[in-house]
Amino acid sequence: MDMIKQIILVTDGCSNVGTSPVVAAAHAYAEGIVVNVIGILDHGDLGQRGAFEVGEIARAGGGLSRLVHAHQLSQTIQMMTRQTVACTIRQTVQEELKKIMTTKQMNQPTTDPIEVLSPQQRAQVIEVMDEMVETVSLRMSLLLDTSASMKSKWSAVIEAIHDLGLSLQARQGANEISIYRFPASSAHKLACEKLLHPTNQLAKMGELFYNLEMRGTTPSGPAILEVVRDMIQEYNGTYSKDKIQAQPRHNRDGLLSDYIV
Amino acid sequence: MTISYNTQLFPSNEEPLPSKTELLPGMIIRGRWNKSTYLIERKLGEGANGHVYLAVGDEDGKQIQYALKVGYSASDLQSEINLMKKLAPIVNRRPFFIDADDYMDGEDVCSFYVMQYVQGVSISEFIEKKGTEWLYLTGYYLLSRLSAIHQRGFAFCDVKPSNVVVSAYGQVELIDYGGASPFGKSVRQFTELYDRGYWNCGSRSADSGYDLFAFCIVFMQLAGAILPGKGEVEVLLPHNRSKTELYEAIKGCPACHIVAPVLHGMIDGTYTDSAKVLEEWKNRMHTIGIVPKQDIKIPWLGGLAVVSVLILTISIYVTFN
Repeated sequence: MDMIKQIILVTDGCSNVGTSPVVAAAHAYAEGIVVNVIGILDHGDLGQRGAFEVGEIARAGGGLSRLVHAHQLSQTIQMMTRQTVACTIRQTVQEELKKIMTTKQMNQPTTDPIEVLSPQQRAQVIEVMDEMVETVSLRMSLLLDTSASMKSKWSAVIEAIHDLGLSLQARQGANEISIYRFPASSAHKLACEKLLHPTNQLAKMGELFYNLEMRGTTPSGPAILEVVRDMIQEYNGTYSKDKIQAQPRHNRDGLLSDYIV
Repeated sequence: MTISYNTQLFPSNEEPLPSKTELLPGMIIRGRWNKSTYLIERKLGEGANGHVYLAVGDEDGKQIQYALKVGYSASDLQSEINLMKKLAPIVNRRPFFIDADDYMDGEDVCSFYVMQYVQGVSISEFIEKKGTEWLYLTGYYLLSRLSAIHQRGFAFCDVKPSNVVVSAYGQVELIDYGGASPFGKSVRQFTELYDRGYWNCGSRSADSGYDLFAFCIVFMQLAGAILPGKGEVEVLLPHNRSKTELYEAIKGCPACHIVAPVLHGMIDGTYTDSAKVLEEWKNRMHTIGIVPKQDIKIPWLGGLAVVSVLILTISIYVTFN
């Protein structure tokens, strides 16, 4: 496994334009991108339908879903990221182990192969897995709902971005994160717009996202699809050539000033 | 990290679920590798990745009470077992970590490990019940436990009152080693309030300073310092979480004064060696005071002194005349 890819969708409402976000998430999963979803509860228009949708998107995207209050956002994003990495590593290792083991050793096809190992072997495998969790490359996209009702929660979002930066910085593996928002500002033709190109310098970025215009519809589905397209392109194109950390700083700043309204 | 979610509609497919059946008092489990048997007495509690039971086992022919943890998932628990094996201390001349094994529940493999049963309460309960007289001593024991882990190149990381158990005479044991991380790696498990990053006081990488910072917040809480924004439903704004706010809290807390320079050092991250901190803590306890200084204010005491001087003067006068 060369890299773990995930999208975290943060929303406080129900999608109301375009492709179903559940279908979009299923597409992401097919491309090897895990979709996690956080629904924010306070003063939102999430409702029962939105809450159900949050769960459905995550299930289609092979990820986790949580409904939380704004002040829990930092912890939730942090936890989800860690879980996603740990689960992906575990699945990969389990599949490799299953290939090695004979059917005799596995009394059922569904058995976790880890459980078949003796305590000594198990200890070694887990040690390697824990090391991988720390060192594997991580590529994530944060997809933020910026409809009008998100205004009151925006400071929590910015704090969560700052906090995520702290956690990612501490990892030993390469990290890159890009940030998108939806709906895009009115000048934009697409469903979502990129606020931040892939970077590993997140901790100081939070302040740059104040003063965004927040209104419009909630095109969650089309937004997910665009992020997926972007991540694939990036991976096939420039990404493989000059790897992670290759974003020149001036480029990022220039881009940001264009996008901030 | 401990997070409690108020609402979670869908336990998602990737999450380890507590699917395995709970053990009941009177049940006997037998390890399939090491063949030891344990009689379950009662459930002690529930951790992030498993249930903990009080169990009786056999050690050199003697019946001994243990704490036995059954994990929801073998992988998660093994991670903790690996850490326990590396880091668990010797308690009362016996290893704290006893055994790790699986038992079979029908077709299901259930992974568990066994550790010494520490009879005690959480450090916050202890101080609340027994008073702040115990503050510096329990603090000292906690520091020495952390320091022992640091000597092995690990940070405990999730230092918080509920992970610190104190027995009757102030002896401290750490429980839940699941968050421990090697120096230089990212902190695997933390609780916001005790997290150095959350307070804008440094990184979220494991080093001895990370634990010392968490220790400082725990100590301040126990000593009755008013942490900024404490008790608010909404968490603190980032600008309220800074060194200066913590310094202020120390200043306003009399029980912190004796160790204030050490606490400041913990906040500033000036310590790289926790053995030195331990030494300094001990020195301050023995040279300045082992219990918090209390300003005793008895208003009539001054009056009493005047009266006694007066009586003395009169008695001297009377005697010499």
